[in-house]
Amino acid sequence: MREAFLQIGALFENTWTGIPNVVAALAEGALNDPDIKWGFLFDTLEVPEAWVREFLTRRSGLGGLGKLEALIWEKATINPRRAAEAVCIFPNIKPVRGFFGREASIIHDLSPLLTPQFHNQDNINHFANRIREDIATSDHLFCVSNATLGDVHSYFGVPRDRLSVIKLGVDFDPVDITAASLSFRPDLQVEPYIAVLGTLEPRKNGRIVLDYLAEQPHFANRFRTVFVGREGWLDGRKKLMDALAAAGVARDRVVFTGYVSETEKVALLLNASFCVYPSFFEGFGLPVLEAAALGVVTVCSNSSSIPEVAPQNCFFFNPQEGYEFARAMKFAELRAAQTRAAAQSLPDITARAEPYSWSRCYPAVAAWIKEQ
Amino acid sequence: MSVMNYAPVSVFSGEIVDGVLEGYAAPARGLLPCSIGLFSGETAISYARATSFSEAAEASGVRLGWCGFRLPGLAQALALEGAVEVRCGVTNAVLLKPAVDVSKVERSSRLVRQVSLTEFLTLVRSEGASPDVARLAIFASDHARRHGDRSFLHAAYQTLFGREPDSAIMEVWDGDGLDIDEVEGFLSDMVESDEFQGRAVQGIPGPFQSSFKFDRGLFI
Repeated sequence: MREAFLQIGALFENTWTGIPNVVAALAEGALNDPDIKWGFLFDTLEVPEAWVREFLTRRSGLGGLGKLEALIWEKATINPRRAAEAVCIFPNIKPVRGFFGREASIIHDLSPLLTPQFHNQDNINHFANRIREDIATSDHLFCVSNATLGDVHSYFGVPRDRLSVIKLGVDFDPVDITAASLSFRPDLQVEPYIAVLGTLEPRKNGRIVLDYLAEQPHFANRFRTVFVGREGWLDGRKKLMDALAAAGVARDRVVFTGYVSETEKVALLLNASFCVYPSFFEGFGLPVLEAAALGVVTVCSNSSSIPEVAPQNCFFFNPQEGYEFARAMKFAELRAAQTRAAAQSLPDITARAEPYSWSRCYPAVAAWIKEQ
Repeated sequence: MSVMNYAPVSVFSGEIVDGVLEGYAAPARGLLPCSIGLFSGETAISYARATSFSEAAEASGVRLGWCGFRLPGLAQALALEGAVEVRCGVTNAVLLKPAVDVSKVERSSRLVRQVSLTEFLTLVRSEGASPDVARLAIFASDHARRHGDRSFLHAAYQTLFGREPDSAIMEVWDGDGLDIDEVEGFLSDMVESDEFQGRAVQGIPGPFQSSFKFDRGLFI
Protein backbone atom coordinates (compact mmCIF):
# COMPACT_ATOMS: atom_id res chain seq x y z
CA MET A 1 0.00 0.00 0.00
CA ARG A 2 1.33 3.42 -0.97
CA GLU A 3 2.40 5.65 1.92
CA ALA A 4 1.42 9.28 1.59
CA PHE A 5 1.73 12.34 3.77
CA LEU A 6 -0.44 15.42 3.98
CA GLN A 7 1.01 18.68 5.25
CA ILE A 8 -1.49 19.98 7.79
CA GLY A 9 0.19 23.14 9.08
CA ALA A 10 -2.89 25.19 8.11
CA LEU A 11 -5.04 23.19 10.55
CA PHE A 12 -3.10 24.75 13.45
CA GLU A 13 -4.81 28.09 12.81
CA ASN A 14 -7.30 29.19 15.47
CA THR A 15 -10.08 29.99 13.06
CA TRP A 16 -10.50 28.23 9.77
CA THR A 17 -11.30 29.88 6.48
CA GLY A 18 -9.92 29.32 2.98
CA ILE A 19 -6.85 27.06 2.95
CA PRO A 20 -7.52 25.37 6.35
CA ASN A 21 -10.93 24.31 5.02
CA VAL A 22 -9.30 22.72 1.96
CA VAL A 23 -6.79 20.89 4.18
CA ALA A 24 -9.63 19.78 6.46
CA ALA A 25 -11.54 18.30 3.51
CA LEU A 26 -8.45 16.40 2.37
CA ALA A 27 -7.66 15.21 5.92
CA GLU A 28 -11.21 13.95 6.38
CA GLY A 29 -10.98 12.08 3.07
CA ALA A 30 -7.61 10.65 4.10
CA LEU A 31 -8.89 9.42 7.45
CA ASN A 32 -11.67 7.53 5.67
CA ASP A 33 -9.53 6.02 2.90
CA PRO A 34 -8.38 2.47 3.64
CA ASP A 35 -6.45 2.20 0.35
CA ILE A 36 -3.68 4.71 1.16
CA LYS A 37 -1.48 4.63 4.23
CA TRP A 38 -1.76 8.27 5.27
CA GLY A 39 0.39 10.21 7.70
CA PHE A 40 0.06 13.84 8.71
CA LEU A 41 2.96 16.26 8.86
CA PHE A 42 3.88 19.65 10.22
CA ASP A 43 6.92 20.27 8.01
CA THR A 44 8.84 17.01 8.59
CA LEU A 45 7.38 16.18 12.00
CA GLU A 46 4.71 13.50 12.05
CA VAL A 47 1.58 14.64 13.90
CA PRO A 48 -0.56 12.05 15.73
CA GLU A 49 -3.77 11.13 13.91
CA ALA A 50 -5.71 11.81 17.12
CA TRP A 51 -4.71 15.47 16.91
CA VAL A 52 -6.06 15.70 13.39
CA ARG A 53 -9.36 14.16 14.49
CA GLU A 54 -9.55 16.60 17.41
CA PHE A 55 -8.85 19.60 15.14
CA LEU A 56 -11.51 18.43 12.69
CA THR A 57 -14.02 18.02 15.48
CA ARG A 58 -13.38 21.45 16.93
CA ARG A 59 -12.86 23.11 13.52
CA SER A 60 -9.91 24.85 15.12
CA GLY A 61 -6.23 24.21 15.82
CA LEU A 62 -6.07 26.39 18.91
CA GLY A 63 -3.57 24.99 21.40
CA GLY A 64 -1.95 22.81 18.76
CA LEU A 65 1.24 24.84 18.44
CA GLY A 66 1.87 24.52 22.19
CA LYS A 67 1.50 20.75 21.93
CA LEU A 68 3.75 20.77 18.89
CA GLU A 69 6.57 22.32 20.92
CA ALA A 70 6.40 19.33 23.26
CA LEU A 71 6.20 16.89 20.33
CA ILE A 72 9.45 18.26 18.87
CA TRP A 73 11.26 17.01 21.99
CA GLU A 74 9.51 13.64 21.97
CA LYS A 75 9.77 12.66 18.30
CA ALA A 76 12.36 12.85 15.58
CA THR A 77 11.52 14.16 12.14
CA ILE A 78 10.63 11.44 9.68
CA ASN A 79 13.45 9.35 8.29
CA PRO A 80 14.65 10.66 4.87
CA ARG A 81 14.76 7.11 3.47
CA ARG A 82 11.12 6.62 4.43
CA ALA A 83 10.25 10.01 2.93
CA ALA A 84 12.01 9.13 -0.30
CA GLU A 85 9.64 6.19 -0.74
CA ALA A 86 6.53 8.24 0.02
CA VAL A 87 4.27 10.76 -1.67
CA CYS A 88 3.56 14.14 -0.07
CA ILE A 89 0.75 16.62 -0.70
CA PHE A 90 1.53 20.27 0.05
CA PRO A 91 -1.67 22.30 0.35
CA ASN A 92 0.21 25.59 0.55
CA ILE A 93 3.76 26.98 0.35
CA LYS A 94 6.22 24.05 0.67
CA PRO A 95 8.29 23.93 3.88
CA VAL A 96 10.68 21.39 2.26
CA ARG A 97 11.40 20.61 -1.38
CA GLY A 98 12.56 17.39 -2.97
CA PHE A 99 12.46 15.57 0.37
CA PHE A 100 9.77 13.09 -0.67
CA GLY A 101 9.84 10.63 -3.54
CA ARG A 102 6.91 12.30 -5.27
CA GLU A 103 5.50 15.71 -4.42
CA ALA A 104 2.32 17.54 -5.39
CA SER A 105 1.26 21.06 -4.46
CA ILE A 106 -2.06 22.80 -4.39
CA ILE A 107 -2.03 26.23 -6.01
CA HIS A 108 -4.80 28.46 -4.73
CA ASP A 109 -3.99 31.60 -6.66
CA LEU A 110 -1.14 33.80 -7.84
CA SER A 111 -2.75 36.87 -6.34
CA PRO A 112 0.40 38.33 -4.69
CA LEU A 113 2.07 38.31 -8.12
CA LEU A 114 -0.89 39.26 -10.32
CA THR A 115 -2.52 41.84 -8.05
CA PRO A 116 0.35 43.04 -5.83
CA GLN A 117 -1.47 46.28 -5.06
CA PHE A 118 -3.65 44.33 -2.63
CA HIS A 119 -0.82 42.75 -0.67
CA ASN A 120 1.82 44.09 1.64
CA GLN A 121 5.44 43.86 0.53
CA ASP A 122 6.36 41.11 3.02
CA ASN A 123 3.62 38.89 1.67
CA ILE A 124 4.63 39.56 -1.94
CA ASN A 125 8.30 38.86 -1.19
CA HIS A 126 7.52 35.67 0.71
CA PHE A 127 5.27 34.38 -2.05
CA ALA A 128 7.52 35.47 -4.90
CA ASN A 129 10.60 33.94 -3.30
CA ARG A 130 8.90 30.59 -2.84
CA ILE A 131 6.41 29.92 -5.59
CA ARG A 132 8.75 29.43 -8.54
CA GLU A 133 10.81 26.73 -6.82
CA ASP A 134 7.70 25.19 -5.30
CA ILE A 135 6.27 24.79 -8.79
CA ALA A 136 9.54 23.55 -10.24
CA THR A 137 9.99 20.86 -7.57
CA SER A 138 6.43 19.53 -7.71
CA ASP A 139 5.64 16.54 -9.86
CA HIS A 140 2.04 17.65 -10.08
CA LEU A 141 0.07 20.81 -9.35
CA PHE A 142 -3.56 20.78 -8.28
CA CYS A 143 -5.24 24.13 -9.02
CA VAL A 144 -8.46 25.19 -7.31
CA SER A 145 -10.01 26.63 -10.47
CA ASN A 146 -9.57 26.74 -14.22
CA ALA A 147 -8.57 30.40 -13.87
CA THR A 148 -5.72 29.49 -11.51
CA LEU A 149 -4.68 26.61 -13.78
CA GLY A 150 -4.55 29.02 -16.71
CA ASP A 151 -2.43 31.48 -14.72
CA VAL A 152 0.07 28.79 -13.67
CA HIS A 153 0.30 27.53 -17.23
CA SER A 154 0.70 31.04 -18.70
CA TYR A 155 3.05 32.64 -16.20
CA PHE A 156 5.24 29.67 -15.27
CA GLY A 157 5.04 27.64 -18.48
CA VAL A 158 3.97 24.49 -16.68
CA PRO A 159 2.77 21.89 -19.23
CA ARG A 160 -0.90 21.03 -18.91
CA ASP A 161 -0.21 17.34 -18.21
CA ARG A 162 1.31 18.40 -14.88
CA LEU A 163 -1.78 20.42 -13.99
CA SER A 164 -5.29 19.51 -12.96
CA VAL A 165 -8.22 21.14 -11.19
CA ILE A 166 -9.51 19.92 -7.84
CA LYS A 167 -13.03 20.82 -6.94
CA LEU A 168 -13.63 22.74 -3.74
CA GLY A 169 -16.90 22.21 -1.98
CA VAL A 170 -19.36 23.00 0.75
CA ASP A 171 -20.84 20.78 3.42
CA PHE A 172 -23.64 21.93 5.67
CA ASP A 173 -24.41 20.16 8.89
CA PRO A 174 -28.21 19.58 8.97
CA VAL A 175 -28.05 20.74 12.59
CA ASP A 176 -26.86 24.16 11.40
CA ILE A 177 -29.54 24.32 8.70
CA THR A 178 -32.21 23.50 11.28
CA ALA A 179 -30.91 26.18 13.65
CA ALA A 180 -30.73 28.72 10.82
CA SER A 181 -34.07 28.04 9.16
CA LEU A 182 -36.95 30.36 9.89
CA SER A 183 -39.35 27.58 8.92
CA PHE A 184 -38.78 26.29 12.47
CA ARG A 185 -39.40 29.75 13.94
CA PRO A 186 -42.69 30.61 12.24
CA ASP A 187 -43.44 33.46 14.62
CA LEU A 188 -40.24 35.28 13.66
CA GLN A 189 -39.41 37.42 10.69
CA VAL A 190 -35.89 38.79 10.33
CA GLU A 191 -35.50 42.32 8.99
CA PRO A 192 -34.41 42.50 5.33
CA TYR A 193 -30.64 42.52 4.92
CA ILE A 194 -27.91 41.76 2.42
CA ALA A 195 -24.78 39.81 3.35
CA VAL A 196 -21.41 40.99 2.04
CA LEU A 197 -19.07 38.01 2.16
CA GLY A 198 -15.40 37.73 3.01
CA THR A 199 -12.64 39.13 5.19
CA LEU A 200 -12.48 42.92 5.21
CA GLU A 201 -9.43 43.80 3.18
CA PRO A 202 -8.84 45.94 0.08
CA ARG A 203 -8.77 42.96 -2.32
CA LYS A 204 -12.31 42.10 -1.27
CA ASN A 205 -13.51 45.50 -2.53
CA GLY A 206 -15.98 46.18 0.30
CA ARG A 207 -15.57 49.84 -0.50
CA ILE A 208 -17.77 49.56 -3.62
CA VAL A 209 -20.65 48.51 -1.36
CA LEU A 210 -20.18 51.43 1.02
CA ASP A 211 -19.88 53.86 -1.94
CA TYR A 212 -23.13 52.43 -3.33
CA LEU A 213 -24.91 52.96 0.00
CA ALA A 214 -23.68 56.55 0.15
CA GLU A 215 -25.11 57.15 -3.32
CA GLN A 216 -28.30 55.17 -2.68
CA PRO A 217 -29.31 55.88 0.93
CA HIS A 218 -32.85 54.62 0.23
CA PHE A 219 -31.37 51.15 -0.38
CA ALA A 220 -29.73 51.30 3.06
CA ASN A 221 -33.14 52.13 4.51
CA ARG A 222 -34.71 49.05 2.90
CA PHE A 223 -31.88 46.62 3.66
CA ARG A 224 -29.41 46.47 6.50
CA THR A 225 -25.94 45.70 5.12
CA VAL A 226 -23.99 43.03 6.96
CA PHE A 227 -20.27 42.47 6.38
CA VAL A 228 -19.70 38.83 7.30
CA GLY A 229 -16.15 37.82 8.15
CA ARG A 230 -13.00 38.62 9.99
CA GLU A 231 -11.91 42.23 10.30
CA GLY A 232 -8.96 42.68 7.98
CA TRP A 233 -7.54 45.98 6.90
CA LEU A 234 -10.26 47.75 4.91
CA ASP A 235 -8.51 51.08 4.35
CA GLY A 236 -10.30 54.10 5.64
CA ARG A 237 -13.29 52.28 7.10
CA LYS A 238 -13.97 55.13 9.52
CA LYS A 239 -13.76 57.68 6.70
CA LEU A 240 -16.22 55.64 4.63
CA MET A 241 -18.59 55.30 7.56
CA ASP A 242 -18.41 59.08 8.11
CA ALA A 243 -19.21 59.59 4.43
CA LEU A 244 -22.19 57.26 4.81
CA ALA A 245 -23.46 59.22 7.80
CA ALA A 246 -23.05 62.49 5.85
CA ALA A 247 -25.14 60.96 3.02
CA GLY A 248 -27.95 60.25 5.48
CA VAL A 249 -27.29 56.58 6.21
CA ALA A 250 -27.48 55.82 9.93
CA ARG A 251 -24.38 54.02 11.20
CA ASP A 252 -26.42 51.12 12.56
CA ARG A 253 -27.61 50.27 9.02
CA VAL A 254 -24.19 48.71 8.45
CA VAL A 255 -23.09 45.81 10.68
CA PHE A 256 -19.64 44.19 10.87
CA THR A 257 -19.99 40.72 12.39
CA GLY A 258 -16.32 39.77 12.75
CA TYR A 259 -15.61 36.04 12.70
CA VAL A 260 -18.79 33.96 12.93
CA SER A 261 -19.33 30.30 13.74
CA GLU A 262 -20.48 27.86 11.08
CA THR A 263 -24.02 27.91 12.49
CA GLU A 264 -24.13 31.69 12.44
CA LYS A 265 -22.68 31.84 8.93
CA VAL A 266 -25.38 29.48 7.64
CA ALA A 267 -28.05 31.57 9.41
CA LEU A 268 -26.69 34.77 7.84
CA LEU A 269 -26.51 33.32 4.32
CA LEU A 270 -29.79 31.41 4.40
CA ASN A 271 -31.91 34.36 5.50
CA ALA A 272 -30.23 37.11 3.50
CA SER A 273 -32.27 38.76 0.76
CA PHE A 274 -29.20 38.23 -1.37
CA CYS A 275 -25.42 38.16 -1.02
CA VAL A 276 -22.67 40.36 -2.40
CA TYR A 277 -19.13 39.26 -3.26
CA PRO A 278 -17.36 42.20 -4.90
CA SER A 279 -13.78 40.88 -4.74
CA PHE A 280 -11.20 42.05 -7.29
CA PHE A 281 -9.41 38.68 -7.43
CA GLU A 282 -10.02 35.16 -6.11
CA GLY A 283 -8.44 31.77 -6.63
CA PHE A 284 -11.89 30.24 -6.31
CA GLY A 285 -14.63 32.15 -4.42
CA LEU A 286 -16.01 29.64 -1.95
CA PRO A 287 -18.61 32.00 -0.38
CA VAL A 288 -20.35 32.22 -3.77
CA LEU A 289 -20.65 28.43 -3.82
CA GLU A 290 -21.97 28.38 -0.24
CA ALA A 291 -24.67 30.93 -1.09
CA ALA A 292 -25.64 29.06 -4.26
CA ALA A 293 -25.92 25.75 -2.39
CA LEU A 294 -28.32 27.46 0.02
CA GLY A 295 -30.35 28.83 -2.90
CA VAL A 296 -29.33 32.45 -2.37
CA VAL A 297 -28.47 34.77 -5.25
CA THR A 298 -25.10 36.56 -5.20
CA VAL A 299 -24.05 39.80 -6.81
CA CYS A 300 -20.43 39.13 -7.63
CA SER A 301 -17.57 40.48 -9.66
CA ASN A 302 -16.73 39.02 -13.05
CA SER A 303 -12.99 38.75 -12.42
CA SER A 304 -10.54 35.84 -12.09
CA SER A 305 -12.18 32.54 -11.10
CA ILE A 306 -15.44 33.91 -9.71
CA PRO A 307 -17.57 33.41 -12.87
CA GLU A 308 -16.73 29.67 -12.77
CA VAL A 309 -18.22 29.01 -9.35
CA ALA A 310 -22.01 29.15 -9.68
CA PRO A 311 -22.90 31.34 -12.67
CA GLN A 312 -26.54 30.30 -12.65
CA ASN A 313 -26.99 31.94 -9.24
CA CYS A 314 -25.09 35.16 -9.82
CA PHE A 315 -25.42 38.65 -11.20
CA PHE A 316 -22.02 39.77 -12.42
CA PHE A 317 -20.39 43.19 -12.59
CA ASN A 318 -16.99 44.68 -13.32
CA PRO A 319 -15.47 45.33 -9.87
CA GLN A 320 -14.00 48.62 -11.11
CA GLU A 321 -17.40 49.95 -12.25
CA GLY A 322 -19.82 51.43 -9.75
CA TYR A 323 -22.48 51.76 -12.44
CA GLU A 324 -22.37 48.04 -13.27
CA PHE A 325 -22.49 47.23 -9.57
CA ALA A 326 -25.62 49.36 -9.11
CA ARG A 327 -27.30 47.61 -12.03
CA ALA A 328 -26.46 44.14 -10.69
CA MET A 329 -27.81 45.13 -7.26
CA LYS A 330 -31.13 46.15 -8.85
CA PHE A 331 -31.42 42.85 -10.74
CA ALA A 332 -30.62 40.87 -7.60
CA GLU A 333 -33.18 42.76 -5.55
CA LEU A 334 -35.87 42.04 -8.13
CA ARG A 335 -34.97 38.35 -8.44
CA ALA A 336 -34.76 37.94 -4.66
CA ALA A 337 -38.24 39.39 -4.29
CA GLN A 338 -39.57 36.89 -6.83
CA THR A 339 -37.83 33.73 -5.69
CA ARG A 340 -37.25 33.86 -1.92
CA ALA A 341 -38.77 31.27 0.37
CA ALA A 342 -38.90 28.60 -2.32
CA ALA A 343 -37.49 25.15 -1.50
CA GLN A 344 -35.98 25.98 1.89
CA SER A 345 -36.88 22.80 3.82
CA LEU A 346 -34.07 20.61 5.17
CA PRO A 347 -34.47 17.95 2.42
CA ASP A 348 -34.55 20.69 -0.24
CA ILE A 349 -31.37 22.35 0.98
CA THR A 350 -29.57 19.04 1.54
CA ALA A 351 -30.43 17.89 -1.98
CA ARG A 352 -29.35 21.21 -3.49
CA ALA A 353 -26.01 21.22 -1.64
CA GLU A 354 -25.16 17.56 -2.30
CA PRO A 355 -23.58 18.06 -5.76
CA TYR A 356 -21.22 20.65 -4.24
CA SER A 357 -20.03 18.46 -1.36
CA TRP A 358 -16.42 18.57 -0.16
CA SER A 359 -16.34 14.85 -0.90
CA ARG A 360 -15.64 15.77 -4.54
CA CYS A 361 -12.28 17.32 -3.51
CA TYR A 362 -10.37 14.30 -2.18
CA PRO A 363 -10.81 11.69 -4.99
CA ALA A 364 -8.62 13.55 -7.52
CA VAL A 365 -5.77 13.69 -5.00
CA ALA A 366 -6.19 10.03 -4.03
CA ALA A 367 -6.29 8.98 -7.70
CA TRP A 368 -3.02 10.80 -8.43
CA ILE A 369 -1.32 9.17 -5.44
CA LYS A 370 -2.40 5.73 -6.58
CA GLU A 371 -0.88 6.39 -10.02
CA GLN A 372 2.57 7.07 -8.54
CA MET B 1 -23.63 15.12 7.92
CA SER B 2 -20.07 14.29 8.85
CA VAL B 3 -20.42 11.54 11.46
CA MET B 4 -16.82 12.34 12.45
CA ASN B 5 -18.17 15.21 14.52
CA TYR B 6 -20.71 13.20 16.50
CA ALA B 7 -20.87 10.10 18.69
CA PRO B 8 -23.62 7.47 18.90
CA VAL B 9 -26.29 8.11 21.51
CA SER B 10 -25.87 5.99 24.62
CA VAL B 11 -28.09 7.77 27.14
CA PHE B 12 -31.35 9.33 25.96
CA SER B 13 -34.27 11.09 27.57
CA GLY B 14 -36.86 12.98 25.61
CA GLU B 15 -40.40 14.24 25.90
CA ILE B 16 -42.73 16.76 24.33
CA VAL B 17 -42.78 19.97 26.37
CA ASP B 18 -45.11 22.71 25.21
CA GLY B 19 -45.36 21.04 21.83
CA VAL B 20 -41.60 20.73 21.27
CA LEU B 21 -39.32 17.71 21.74
CA GLU B 22 -36.84 18.38 24.51
CA GLY B 23 -34.45 16.27 26.53
CA TYR B 24 -30.87 15.11 26.59
CA ALA B 25 -28.72 12.67 24.64
CA ALA B 26 -25.19 11.67 25.63
CA PRO B 27 -22.48 9.38 24.28
CA ALA B 28 -20.96 6.55 26.30
CA ARG B 29 -17.73 8.52 26.66
CA GLY B 30 -15.45 10.96 24.92
CA LEU B 31 -15.44 14.53 23.70
CA LEU B 32 -17.82 14.18 20.78
CA PRO B 33 -21.42 15.23 21.35
CA CYS B 34 -24.49 13.47 19.96
CA SER B 35 -26.84 14.65 17.27
CA ILE B 36 -30.41 13.52 16.87
CA GLY B 37 -32.87 13.77 14.01
CA LEU B 38 -36.63 14.05 13.71
CA PHE B 39 -38.08 11.91 10.95
CA SER B 40 -41.47 11.53 9.35
CA GLY B 41 -41.25 8.14 7.68
CA GLU B 42 -37.88 8.27 5.91
CA THR B 43 -37.90 12.06 5.50
CA ALA B 44 -35.53 13.96 7.77
CA ILE B 45 -37.37 16.99 9.08
CA SER B 46 -34.84 18.52 11.45
CA TYR B 47 -31.66 17.82 13.41
CA ALA B 48 -30.35 19.08 16.74
CA ARG B 49 -26.97 18.94 18.42
CA ALA B 50 -27.26 17.72 22.01
CA THR B 51 -24.89 20.33 23.39
CA SER B 52 -27.11 22.70 25.38
CA PHE B 53 -27.07 22.85 29.13
CA SER B 54 -29.80 20.68 30.64
CA GLU B 55 -30.63 20.90 34.32
CA ALA B 56 -32.32 17.48 34.05
CA ALA B 57 -29.12 15.93 32.69
CA GLU B 58 -27.06 17.63 35.37
CA ALA B 59 -29.42 16.33 38.06
CA SER B 60 -29.05 12.83 36.59
CA GLY B 61 -25.27 13.13 36.65
CA VAL B 62 -24.97 12.93 32.87
CA ARG B 63 -22.12 14.82 31.18
CA LEU B 64 -22.17 17.74 33.64
CA GLY B 65 -25.52 18.64 32.08
CA TRP B 66 -24.01 19.54 28.69
CA CYS B 67 -26.07 17.25 26.47
CA GLY B 68 -29.46 18.94 26.27
CA PHE B 69 -31.38 19.39 23.04
CA ARG B 70 -34.47 21.08 21.68
CA LEU B 71 -35.64 19.48 18.44
CA PRO B 72 -38.10 21.58 16.41
CA GLY B 73 -40.28 20.45 13.54
CA LEU B 74 -43.06 18.32 15.03
CA ALA B 75 -45.71 20.30 13.16
CA GLN B 76 -43.89 19.69 9.85
CA ALA B 77 -43.39 16.00 10.68
CA LEU B 78 -47.07 15.52 11.40
CA ALA B 79 -48.01 17.32 8.22
CA LEU B 80 -46.25 14.62 6.18
CA GLU B 81 -48.31 11.93 7.88
CA GLY B 82 -45.44 9.47 8.23
CA ALA B 83 -44.51 7.68 11.45
CA VAL B 84 -42.80 10.29 13.63
CA GLU B 85 -39.49 9.06 15.07
CA VAL B 86 -36.48 10.51 16.84
CA ARG B 87 -33.27 8.87 15.61
CA CYS B 88 -29.60 8.91 16.50
CA GLY B 89 -27.71 11.14 14.03
CA VAL B 90 -24.85 8.62 13.71
CA THR B 91 -26.40 5.15 13.79
CA ASN B 92 -29.93 6.07 12.68
CA ALA B 93 -31.23 3.92 15.56
CA VAL B 94 -34.74 4.86 16.65
CA LEU B 95 -34.59 6.46 20.09
CA LEU B 96 -38.20 7.49 20.53
CA LYS B 97 -41.53 7.14 18.79
CA PRO B 98 -43.38 9.96 20.45
CA ALA B 99 -47.11 9.61 20.91
CA VAL B 100 -48.04 12.99 19.54
CA ASP B 101 -51.16 14.78 20.63
CA VAL B 102 -51.71 16.98 17.60
CA SER B 103 -53.58 19.56 19.62
CA LYS B 104 -50.51 20.13 21.79
CA VAL B 105 -47.96 20.54 19.04
CA GLU B 106 -46.39 23.98 18.97
CA ARG B 107 -48.56 26.34 16.98
CA SER B 108 -47.17 29.40 15.36
CA SER B 109 -48.39 32.60 16.85
CA ARG B 110 -50.82 34.54 14.71
CA LEU B 111 -48.64 37.54 15.30
CA VAL B 112 -45.36 37.41 13.46
CA ARG B 113 -42.67 39.36 15.27
CA GLN B 114 -40.00 41.09 13.22
CA VAL B 115 -36.59 40.92 14.85
CA SER B 116 -33.40 42.71 14.04
CA LEU B 117 -30.54 40.78 12.58
CA THR B 118 -28.53 40.97 15.79
CA GLU B 119 -31.49 39.71 17.84
CA PHE B 120 -31.79 36.79 15.44
CA LEU B 121 -28.08 35.98 15.65
CA THR B 122 -28.26 36.15 19.44
CA LEU B 123 -31.12 33.63 19.30
CA VAL B 124 -29.10 31.33 17.05
CA ARG B 125 -26.06 31.64 19.32
CA SER B 126 -28.09 30.90 22.45
CA GLU B 127 -28.32 27.21 21.44
CA GLY B 128 -25.44 25.65 23.33
CA ALA B 129 -24.43 28.83 25.16
CA SER B 130 -23.46 28.82 28.83
CA PRO B 131 -26.37 29.82 31.04
CA ASP B 132 -24.05 31.72 33.38
CA VAL B 133 -20.42 32.46 34.18
CA ALA B 134 -20.32 29.78 36.90
CA ARG B 135 -20.83 27.00 34.34
CA LEU B 136 -18.03 28.45 32.20
CA ALA B 137 -15.76 28.75 35.25
CA ILE B 138 -15.88 24.99 35.83
CA PHE B 139 -14.06 24.41 32.53
CA ALA B 140 -11.86 27.51 32.85
CA SER B 141 -10.64 26.45 36.29
CA ASP B 142 -9.88 22.95 35.03
CA HIS B 143 -8.03 24.49 32.07
CA ALA B 144 -5.87 26.61 34.42
CA ARG B 145 -5.05 23.52 36.49
CA ARG B 146 -4.07 21.46 33.42
CA HIS B 147 -2.29 24.07 31.32
CA GLY B 148 -1.24 26.88 33.64
CA ASP B 149 -2.32 30.44 34.18
CA ARG B 150 -0.95 31.95 30.98
CA SER B 151 -2.77 29.43 28.83
CA PHE B 152 -5.91 30.16 30.86
CA LEU B 153 -5.55 33.87 30.09
CA HIS B 154 -5.19 33.24 26.35
CA ALA B 155 -8.21 30.92 26.33
CA ALA B 156 -10.32 33.36 28.36
CA TYR B 157 -9.61 36.24 25.98
CA GLN B 158 -10.19 34.10 22.89
CA THR B 159 -13.43 32.71 24.30
CA LEU B 160 -15.01 35.93 25.55
CA PHE B 161 -13.39 38.65 23.43
CA GLY B 162 -12.40 36.67 20.33
CA ARG B 163 -8.86 38.06 20.47
CA GLU B 164 -5.50 37.65 22.14
CA PRO B 165 -4.83 39.43 25.46
CA ASP B 166 -3.11 42.82 25.31
CA SER B 167 0.63 42.70 25.85
CA ALA B 168 0.19 45.02 28.86
CA ILE B 169 -1.89 42.47 30.75
CA MET B 170 0.50 39.69 29.79
CA GLU B 171 3.36 41.59 31.43
CA VAL B 172 1.61 42.10 34.76
CA TRP B 173 -0.43 38.90 34.79
CA ASP B 174 0.17 36.72 37.80
CA GLY B 175 -2.54 34.10 38.03
CA ASP B 176 -0.60 31.30 39.64
CA GLY B 177 -2.79 28.96 41.66
CA LEU B 178 -6.12 30.54 40.80
CA ASP B 179 -8.95 28.83 42.63
CA ILE B 180 -12.35 28.44 41.02
CA ASP B 181 -13.81 31.48 42.79
CA GLU B 182 -10.98 33.65 41.50
CA VAL B 183 -11.44 32.23 38.02
CA GLU B 184 -15.17 32.94 38.17
CA GLY B 185 -14.50 36.47 39.42
CA PHE B 186 -12.03 37.11 36.59
CA LEU B 187 -14.46 35.80 33.97
CA SER B 188 -17.33 37.82 35.50
CA ASP B 189 -15.27 41.00 35.17
CA MET B 190 -14.65 40.16 31.51
CA VAL B 191 -18.34 39.48 30.86
CA GLU B 192 -19.35 42.76 32.55
CA SER B 193 -16.74 44.75 30.63
CA ASP B 194 -17.70 47.28 27.96
CA GLU B 195 -15.87 45.18 25.39
CA PHE B 196 -18.02 42.09 25.99
CA GLN B 197 -21.26 43.99 26.52
CA GLY B 198 -20.59 46.04 23.38
CA ARG B 199 -20.46 43.02 21.08
CA ALA B 200 -23.28 43.03 18.55
CA VAL B 201 -24.19 39.39 19.23
CA GLN B 202 -24.42 38.40 22.87
CA GLY B 203 -23.96 35.04 24.64
CA ILE B 204 -21.40 33.30 26.84
CA PRO B 205 -19.91 30.44 24.80
CA GLY B 206 -20.70 26.89 25.81
CA PRO B 207 -18.19 24.02 25.56
CA PHE B 208 -19.32 22.85 22.11
CA GLN B 209 -19.40 26.25 20.44
CA SER B 210 -16.50 27.13 18.17
CA SER B 211 -15.53 30.22 20.16
CA PHE B 212 -15.04 28.14 23.35
CA LYS B 213 -11.27 27.71 23.76
CA PHE B 214 -10.95 26.06 27.18
CA ASP B 215 -9.92 22.46 27.60
CA ARG B 216 -12.87 20.07 27.55
CA GLY B 217 -11.08 17.20 29.22
CA LEU B 218 -13.78 17.08 31.88
CA PHE B 219 -15.87 15.15 29.35
CA ILE B 220 -13.35 12.34 29.07
